[in-house]
Amino acid sequence: MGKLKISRRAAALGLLTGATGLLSYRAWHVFENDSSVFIITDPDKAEPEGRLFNTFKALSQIVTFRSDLHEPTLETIYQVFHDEPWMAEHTLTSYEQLKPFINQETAPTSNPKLALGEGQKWFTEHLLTTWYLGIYYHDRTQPIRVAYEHALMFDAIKETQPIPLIDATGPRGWSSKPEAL
Amino acid sequence: MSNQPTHHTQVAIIGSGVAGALCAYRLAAKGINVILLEAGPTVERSDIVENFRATAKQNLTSGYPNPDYAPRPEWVSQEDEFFGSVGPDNMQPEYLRVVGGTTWHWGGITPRLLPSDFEMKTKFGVGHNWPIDYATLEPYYAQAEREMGVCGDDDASTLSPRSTPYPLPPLAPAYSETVMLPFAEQAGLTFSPAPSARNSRGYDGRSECQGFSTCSPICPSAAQYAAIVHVRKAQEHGAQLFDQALVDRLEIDDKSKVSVAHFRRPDGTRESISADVFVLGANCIESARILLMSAGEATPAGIANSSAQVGRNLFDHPGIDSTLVLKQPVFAGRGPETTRLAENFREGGFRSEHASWSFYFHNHLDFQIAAAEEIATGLKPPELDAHFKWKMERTISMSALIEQPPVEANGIRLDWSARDRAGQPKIDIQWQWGEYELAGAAHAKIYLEKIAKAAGAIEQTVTPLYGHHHLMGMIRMGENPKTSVTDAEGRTHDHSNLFAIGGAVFPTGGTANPTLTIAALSLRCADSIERQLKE
Repeated sequence: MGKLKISRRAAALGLLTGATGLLSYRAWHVFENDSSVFIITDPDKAEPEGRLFNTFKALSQIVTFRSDLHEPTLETIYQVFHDEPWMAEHTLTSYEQLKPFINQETAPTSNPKLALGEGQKWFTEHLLTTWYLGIYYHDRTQPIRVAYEHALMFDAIKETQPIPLIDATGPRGWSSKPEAL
Repeated sequence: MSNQPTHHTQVAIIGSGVAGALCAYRLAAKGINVILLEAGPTVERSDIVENFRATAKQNLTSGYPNPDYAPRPEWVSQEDEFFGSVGPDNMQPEYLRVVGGTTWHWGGITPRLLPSDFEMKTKFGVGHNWPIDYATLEPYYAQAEREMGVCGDDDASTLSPRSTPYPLPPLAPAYSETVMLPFAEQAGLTFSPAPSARNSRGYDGRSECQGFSTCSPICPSAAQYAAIVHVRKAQEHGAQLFDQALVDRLEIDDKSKVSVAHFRRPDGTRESISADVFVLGANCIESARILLMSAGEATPAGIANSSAQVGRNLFDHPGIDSTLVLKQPVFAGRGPETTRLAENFREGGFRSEHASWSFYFHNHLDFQIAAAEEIATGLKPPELDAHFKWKMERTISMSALIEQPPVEANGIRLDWSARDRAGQPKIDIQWQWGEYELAGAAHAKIYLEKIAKAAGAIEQTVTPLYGHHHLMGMIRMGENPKTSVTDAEGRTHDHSNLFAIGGAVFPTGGTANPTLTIAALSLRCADSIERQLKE
């Protein structure tokens, strides 16, 4: 399967064009000097029967800003989303709209065409929320747990804070600063 | 239904929480035949932990069963249909219906009541006096602390005189507390180690605290005491456990003694038990419901209710919380949920005017709610990751636990026109905050704001008044049979072989988290039962 490069700066701009101006500015400000690049899956290189899955994976990588997503969690989330009738169209369209950012080392400072459509903006936010909280929320169904320790909110904090019900400081280890510091 | 009871024992205890478990253990250890009845199922700690990881609902009860045959309230849910009406103020009682009861998930904080808490009417003109004084209960406090494995500092507080040292040394403070205590001290509060039923060293075959910071909903290591410890010990001494046995009716005989308890199994079959002594310890709401449901020709207002006080005088510990975001990291969410307590306003002449309160920092974080709030701001990774981490490292909560005197109007009524999932009449709750506790909350809030200012908090949120789920009252003890339900031993005035234990018998609750007092009263009640059986 092929791999694509995406610059952190480019993806940050692309995903934030639907957010408020202030937030877009803040994101741009944070990453304006960041030219780091990470690798995502290239869905166009997949076999036809695997194209939707790989597009979903690539979209997840872009939305979550992570190339190394936990594969069993990806498969669980894909399955839950796949049960939705709108999943395939939103996945493919969102990916197409974000595609201009891929393989770019830098991004233009502004480009109205980069904005996601309203439906795709909702879809990518829905995807991000699912990955981040590890819970699938939708009016159609009761909330579904799709990940616990691999929920990305814990990935964000795990260097300095234990994942509840998974990690512990050990006896009296709670009295000092986290070891990572 | 056969007229012959299907089981017989010397002592039948209804409810397997901390009150029932300790009573069963104490009696069984004396060679007395005991059957412990629990409406809910037996659960395993590892299953609860796994359930919490697997469920999408993330609250303090979501990992515990809520079966149709023994339903319980959902955690702080507006959609919950367990209760009928509640009001006019909001109250959302919470308890578990499993073997071991609600100590599966609790904060583990175990201060004793103060001597003055037993004499509120005399000293402050508020609430009621207890029929016993502090000195009478003190030896049982010491026994309860040994049974549960309470840690604390013998020299820290003189508010509740002690006859024995704490079984365990105090817990080391959390780093978050070390950061915050100087700010709280600037605001005028002083701190000492919080007495806690949490192992600061290995104790009673259970490990030292590992610092999971999930004391509630569940301690994965069992370092925190849970009543399942004494359910198992009671069984080792020969007590029988009937789980999935929903008691829904007590019967009295022509000598006004309770003769039979009827209970229902999950498949709907009915069984019954006769006993020399019955003990009701099913938490104050369920215990009161059983008494009220047992109304009959001779007792039209319910069993043990000639005083009409069953189901009245429900009270809690109201609380207000404040969450701060600071400039500097505090790293909450590491270690026990609370290790330090401020007792400055637990006692004083002001109690004739407004409620007393205690204060603690809450070393626990709700990552899910915080993450959802961050996502809602529109942030996206990687900025979302960075900002979420930044905020979680700097977030700390603090709480005031406030005294609430009982008032007769606060309590429950049964609605026989509506049924819960087990077919029992629904419970309507009459609930209204009083001026006394509202004034105490206003006083506490001044200090929450002082601390926020001293700490230079970037953000501060303060909750409205809420309940700590410390359910107390509704079967209160007292000297006068016309104004109370049980005597000083827990024996009901109306039926000499029916005892009540648990928070239900408290006349008042001070600012002591109730579990240790529940345990002490239960051990004392067991001694009374033993004496009565010998007589």
